Amino acid sequence: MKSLVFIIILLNPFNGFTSDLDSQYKSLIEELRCMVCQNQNLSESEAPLAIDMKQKIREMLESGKSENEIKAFLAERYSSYILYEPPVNRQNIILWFGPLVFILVLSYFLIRRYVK
Amino acid sequence: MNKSSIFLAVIFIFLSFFLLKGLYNDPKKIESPLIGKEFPRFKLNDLYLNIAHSNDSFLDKKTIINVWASWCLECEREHRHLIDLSKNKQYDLVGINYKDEIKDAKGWLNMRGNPYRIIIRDYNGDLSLNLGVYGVPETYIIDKNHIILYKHIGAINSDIINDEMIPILNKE
Repeated sequence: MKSLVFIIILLNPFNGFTSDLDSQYKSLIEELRCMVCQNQNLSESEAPLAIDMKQKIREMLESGKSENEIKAFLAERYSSYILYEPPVNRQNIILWFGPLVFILVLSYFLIRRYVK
Repeated sequence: MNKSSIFLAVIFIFLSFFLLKGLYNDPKKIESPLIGKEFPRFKLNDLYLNIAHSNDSFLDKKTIINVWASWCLECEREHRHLIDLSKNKQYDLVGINYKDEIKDAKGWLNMRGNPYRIIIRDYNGDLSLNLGVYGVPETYIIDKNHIILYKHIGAINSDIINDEMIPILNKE
């Protein structure tokens, strides 16, 4: 009887464990780029490579890997281009902070003109 | 014209050049983060023979590794260049057959000739995923210690061979 209950809990699609993995999986594949059709994320894409990657991500989640470990795994192979939110580095620092600097410089000039 | 408008004009021109350059960048060309790293570990079957290949299957010299498939149209375009490359025995040429059916792959090579010393069959794409393959054909060069020296995405042509690959293959 005990084992029957256990099996029912395991098979229940609404049990906490699975749905947690599922939501992790869903959020993860929305943050990763499909390398074949680069304007789509993995969750939208049905390209063969995207299907393989989703399979791989699912396996890695099931084997207990964290989201960050999976992202690092893919970025190591496909470059940080695969991440929709790439880490700040020397190459993209202008893209990250350029607009902020631009607004600051612009508002400096505007305020100076206004104060005059 | 006052100072600040000159300053803004300079920023504008700088930004324009920055963005203009972006227009000519090919977003499909992404430098592989695997360059300088070791070729991923694998254990896969040969396309023809009933033997398994692993990293020990590479010879003790520089090796060109070409990822191809019979369904890949661009592979057809680069094939005669691979045949040419296979004539030079200073380096090795290994094929990775990517997500392909055995009879399609063999038939394709029967018609066009087989330039590869060995062909590793990556049917479910595991090795290729580890290699960061996303646009077949792809061509890699590894040294005798299996360190990845070079990667090209898409078909190779004589310009790429002469300007990019040969210098790496000939370097000591």
